[in-house]
Amino acid sequence: MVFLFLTSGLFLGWSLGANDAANIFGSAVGSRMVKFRTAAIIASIFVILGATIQGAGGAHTLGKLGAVDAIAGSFTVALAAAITVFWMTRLNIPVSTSQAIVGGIVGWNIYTSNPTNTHTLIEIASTWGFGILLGAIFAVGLYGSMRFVLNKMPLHLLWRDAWIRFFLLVIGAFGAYSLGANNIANVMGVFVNAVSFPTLEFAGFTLSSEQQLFFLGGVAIAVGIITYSEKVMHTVGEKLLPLRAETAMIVVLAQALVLFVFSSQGLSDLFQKMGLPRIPMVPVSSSQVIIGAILGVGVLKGGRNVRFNILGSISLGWIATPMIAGLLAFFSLFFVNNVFKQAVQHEGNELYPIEQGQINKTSNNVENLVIEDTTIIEFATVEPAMKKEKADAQKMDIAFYLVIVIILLLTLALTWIIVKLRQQQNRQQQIESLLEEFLEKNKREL
Amino acid sequence: MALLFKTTSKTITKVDEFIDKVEDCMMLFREALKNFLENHPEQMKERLRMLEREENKADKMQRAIESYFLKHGLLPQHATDILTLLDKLDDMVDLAKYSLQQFEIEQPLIPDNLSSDYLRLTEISIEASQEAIFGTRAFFTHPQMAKNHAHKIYFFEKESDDFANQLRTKIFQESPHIELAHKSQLRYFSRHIEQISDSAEEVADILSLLTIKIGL
Repeated sequence: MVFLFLTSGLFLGWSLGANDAANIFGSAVGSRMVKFRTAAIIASIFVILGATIQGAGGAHTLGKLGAVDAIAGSFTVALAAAITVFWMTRLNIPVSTSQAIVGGIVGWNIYTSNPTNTHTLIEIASTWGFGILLGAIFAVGLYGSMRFVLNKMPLHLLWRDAWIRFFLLVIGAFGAYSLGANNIANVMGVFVNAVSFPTLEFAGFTLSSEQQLFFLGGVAIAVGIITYSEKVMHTVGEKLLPLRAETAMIVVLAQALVLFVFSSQGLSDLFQKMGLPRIPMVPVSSSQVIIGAILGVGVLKGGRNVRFNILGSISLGWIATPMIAGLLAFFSLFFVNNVFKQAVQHEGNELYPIEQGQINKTSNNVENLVIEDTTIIEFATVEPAMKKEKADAQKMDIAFYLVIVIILLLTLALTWIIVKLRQQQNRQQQIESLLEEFLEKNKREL
Repeated sequence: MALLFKTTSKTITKVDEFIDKVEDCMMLFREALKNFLENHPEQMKERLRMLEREENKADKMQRAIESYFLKHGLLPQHATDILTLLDKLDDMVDLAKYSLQQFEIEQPLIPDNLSSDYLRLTEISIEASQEAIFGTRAFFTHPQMAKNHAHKIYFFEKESDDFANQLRTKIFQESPHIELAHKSQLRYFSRHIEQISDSAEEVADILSLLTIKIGL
């Protein structure tokens, strides 16, 4: 039964593998520098390693936003995110699984009357923007350094080609590792509090329940890479982002570094030790970071032909994606809860994440749950009085929900109008250019 | 990965050897033509046989390089242009061989007053071909330097055109003692030599294009 509920997360993982592997190996495969088979094998191995070894950070952040603690709830939230990503991709709006899953979790919070941690929400949203900026900064620095080195150390073209192939593979492996580490939270993060597997021990290695979940998610991503990413890689590498091998190498490295930075607990701890602000462990969109990196290189090359308006489309996606995913999650949860009679949150002994400041007030009720030996999440057991209060709150406040639904519907309508307008604008431009071409041809013939 | 580095190393060696062979062939062409103009037909024949052997080796090397490039997918974005560049270098050698063979077959009688002009035309054409060879060598290590060599090729090609026209004017307008059939034969031999620089110009065109593509 558990595996049946995991299917929505696994599907999300499959689509992530099918689409996002192209960000790492698209240019290399598209330019025929790396064979698809080699790229798929390397990406699959390293994405699973990244997810299993370093995937916890992002999942904990999503857990702070809303700890989805019933398997049916997790299934519904992941499914809502998957459908949103699929639908928005069809509409050609830049979309991110990270943004969809955040929307889904907030939808779950609203449906189950759990408070949404606004501090965490702001932290996540600001990281999305900062991720793009950091991608651009890394790309500018790396591209400048590469040009300097290449100018100082002229290599035979064939040696340069060989080294670029080598680095495309190494950087691709790092990129796949970082993708697994950072984005596994989108795939399996919502299942962490709802699913518990017995700890596995073999050959001196221990795999916790969380790591087993992430391993499964990693395998789903790998299946997506092997079964469906070839076509996407060729589309990205040959049509959407036909980059030169050197530029592709830099752009992928910048993206991998950004994803690594936002998923490395060790780096975050080091920053704190040095008295610097903590790096949030947040799943970011690999596609959007790569766009930031390409814009950075474009600016360094003189800024000609750089389409900054793509940033506008991305920010539209930041608002529209979570809103749509949230709305979809809310209604789906209602449906799953009332039609299929499935519990979408833990019943009886509800667990609520609490802020550090609240711990003292409820210290008598605090239980410490140790996860992975190092991370301690503190929960408060809910008093019976609070339970009653919560049950009351769960009775639908129709006015409140109506307002939310209207806002979401308005956002949806606005997105739809913008998309239609843009499509119309594109069509108009096409007609105009065809007309101009026709007139020009006629003029020449006359 | 080790295989890739090994293949790269082998291909670089083959490319260098091929360019060396082309250079040898062009020097043999110059020396053979000098021998012919200085009335040393035996030495000329000997050099022509050497050139034919070297050209044959160069052809084999070119085929090996093509095979390396295509089989291992080396420089996938520029492979077609690079192979065309090497092919054009080979065309230059083919032309040199063909010209010498025509000299050997037809044994044209070069009037003494025109002998130095034919030698001068040969020198200019060979200068163009030498620049094509230097340009190709430079392209693999300093792509931007190849542009300078291409510029020089264009210069020598124009010089060769101008000088060949002067020579043909001299043949047809200033040599009344030469018969028309002989004049016509002399004209064709000036064309044979001039074609070497035309062939070098084709190398320059590809070098210029590749330099732009690599620098993008």
